[in-house]
Amino acid sequence: MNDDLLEQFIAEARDLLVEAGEELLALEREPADKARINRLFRSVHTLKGSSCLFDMPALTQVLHAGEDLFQAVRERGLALTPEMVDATLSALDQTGKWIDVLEHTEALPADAGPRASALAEALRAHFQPAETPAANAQPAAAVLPGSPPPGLAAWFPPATLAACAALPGDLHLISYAPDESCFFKGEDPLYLALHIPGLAALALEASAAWEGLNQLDPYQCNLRFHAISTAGAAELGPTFRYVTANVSLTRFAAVALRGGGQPGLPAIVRDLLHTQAEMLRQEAPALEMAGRLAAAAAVARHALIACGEDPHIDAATPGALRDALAARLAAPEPSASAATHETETPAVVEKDPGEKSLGEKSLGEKGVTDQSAGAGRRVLRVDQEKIDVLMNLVGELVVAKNSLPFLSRRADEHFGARALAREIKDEYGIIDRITQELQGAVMAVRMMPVGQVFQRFPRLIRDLARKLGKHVELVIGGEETEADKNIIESLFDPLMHMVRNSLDHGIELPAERLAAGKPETAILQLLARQDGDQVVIEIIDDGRGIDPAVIKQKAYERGLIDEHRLSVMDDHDAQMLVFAAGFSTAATVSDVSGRGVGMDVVREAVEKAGGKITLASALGQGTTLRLTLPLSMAVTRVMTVVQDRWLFGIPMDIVLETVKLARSDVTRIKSAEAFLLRDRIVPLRHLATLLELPQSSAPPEEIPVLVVRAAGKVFGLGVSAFGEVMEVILKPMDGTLSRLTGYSGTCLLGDGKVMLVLDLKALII
Amino acid sequence: MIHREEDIIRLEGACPVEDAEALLQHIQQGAAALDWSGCTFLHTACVQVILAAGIGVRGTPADDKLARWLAPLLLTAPPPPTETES
Repeated sequence: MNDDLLEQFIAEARDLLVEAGEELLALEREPADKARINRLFRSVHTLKGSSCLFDMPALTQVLHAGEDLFQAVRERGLALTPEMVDATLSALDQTGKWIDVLEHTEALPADAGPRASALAEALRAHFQPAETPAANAQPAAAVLPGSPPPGLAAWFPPATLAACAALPGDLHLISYAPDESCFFKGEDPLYLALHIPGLAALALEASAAWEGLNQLDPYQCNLRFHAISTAGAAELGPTFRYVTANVSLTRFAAVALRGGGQPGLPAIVRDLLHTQAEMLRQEAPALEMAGRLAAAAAVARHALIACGEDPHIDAATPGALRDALAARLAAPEPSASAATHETETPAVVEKDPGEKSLGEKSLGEKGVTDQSAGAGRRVLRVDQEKIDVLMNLVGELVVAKNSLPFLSRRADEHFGARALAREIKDEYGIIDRITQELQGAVMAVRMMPVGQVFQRFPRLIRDLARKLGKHVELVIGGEETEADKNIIESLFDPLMHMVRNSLDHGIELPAERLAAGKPETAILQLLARQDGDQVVIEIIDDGRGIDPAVIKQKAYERGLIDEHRLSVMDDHDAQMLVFAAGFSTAATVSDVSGRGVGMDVVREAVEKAGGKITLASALGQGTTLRLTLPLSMAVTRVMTVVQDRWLFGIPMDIVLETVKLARSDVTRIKSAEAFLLRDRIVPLRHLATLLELPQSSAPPEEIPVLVVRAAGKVFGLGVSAFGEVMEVILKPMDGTLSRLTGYSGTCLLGDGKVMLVLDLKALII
Repeated sequence: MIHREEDIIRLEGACPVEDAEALLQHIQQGAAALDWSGCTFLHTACVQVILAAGIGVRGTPADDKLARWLAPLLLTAPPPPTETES
């Protein structure tokens, strides 16, 4: 099997599954949304199509059933029921699982066959009965009244289709995918295909790409047949009565072939093309005409790309383009579209060189062209590991780069080569700049939209709400907000816990909500935004809120707080108790949440990613949980400070400014020290005291003070001297060191020394 | 029936499923072209071998249905000298 192809398929399949899942959930809310049905159908259809490239009949079978179901929804107005959505979702889930297995083993698990049959049956149960009222052994025929079935152009040459278009009445598309082992059952699919009554066109395709002749097993059927027939379903049925499961029939009007220049050209595209032709027909000055021509050509090309057609059209002169458009809109022209034999996998569309020069002039249509150009944007799929390697290398480069200032100092101090020291410093400036840009670029590659995580929630919430009997509407906002891949990946579990908690504990049952004078359907908001170098994510529900009294009582009962704290604790602190380890308020342990391991795990996970979590809740009105996470956690900028002979790092994001205070500027207020900074009293702490380091004998006349903000407070931190600002790869303390508070981690300096980075928040408490 | 005449393979009369293997062997042994002028029946398995090998066919088969529907789907001899794609 071709590994690259499989890899590509796996990546594509994942995208398509996500897309299909999203559309499905959206569709459940708005069943009449035609565009969504089409997109859903297309996702499943494309997925099925690509799955045929590999020998995975189980996968194809499930997808095929799904495709049929949505074709029925699309073409016959079959109403989408929650049960159908359930069945489809479990089919998509299973497909997703198989894709995961495929990635590791390159084959489906042994039980895939029976599972697939069960899933396909479950899917077909929703539409099959209506399809074949006679319930006999005839293959079902889907009916496409207007448009021809998709895929025709890929299977049949234009000339054949043109000939079919001239036939009167309705046609049937027969797609016949014989079992791989059919030869052993004495079947001869070709013979069957050649004896299709009313045969008007026949096409053959390989189910899986041909491997070398040495690998070819001539007794495994790898062929599929597509045929167009003038016969009715009643005549066709008996022909295929022994292979009904392998055959799908689609009825469509021959006229539909005639109507579309390219079979399957959607109405909106036809309209667009028509409008362009109209626009070109109007008289205009030469200069304006050139603009119009460019605009029309661009619109037409993008419209054709959007519906997967060959975008090459002659746009040399207005007349030529008008003719080309007319040709596309009229009967198919064999010679003109002979090159459009493409499979349904997204084709890489080469840009017509002519389009560039013309296209640039078409500012008027920019909105349109940009949007549709997005579909053809070139995306490179790269293995995450490769990016991680790149990131680590950049990290090492940053550390290596940081050794240059040391070198420069040594050149000056040890070797007395001041000029050389300066040159090294200059070079360092250049390397530093390039490194920063490189780092920025790699970081940008690692950035992922929060939507990647959010998109999993509609499904989760739908299932949970159904299970709990609650009505919940999910509102997602700011999903385009970007953050580092690691941060995004660390987000899902905490978010899931929080959302589950909201649904289980926060949001009331519909009756309860109505009694409280609230709308029956609760609203759960999942919002993201960027705030400086942080991502803020909020989970807001309009449920019953957190009752501090209940929480305090529960915490007391569980021995988390003592009697004294029970009486003095304020409401907000009480609400924050939900994050305490071993706290669970649910009277019964449900399978949704309430095992008492939710929120403290959440807090831990968020803090591990360098973020924090806050909570605001109003009784009866709802709860807001706010996660604040760094945009990136790969590289930290720290300011180094010297305390006697020790060097420490302080994260730059908490440093507000540096000042030098004269001894006399420090005021004593009882045992505490403070100083005046621009009409503001700022408390002063000494690093030596905080870390309980031995004090140097004489207090200096001038104290270097770092003004920092930690744990919401602004204060001054007295040190012996300031060092430089550098970028470091912060390694968290692990092993036995992880229990040390006051340090957020260690980092390696350019001269090979290890520096401790302080966690001032923990130190000042 | 399959006959081999130097580097041309002849398909004559009915070529049932059993012929697929022999056909494959002949092609693997370097036959340059297929002549199916006398062919009245061709099993799917044989067609599959022809398609997989990317080998061209020469002549018009004796069977009308084969000539009308299958012939346009096969390459016409002389076949391109390229190897089959893997």
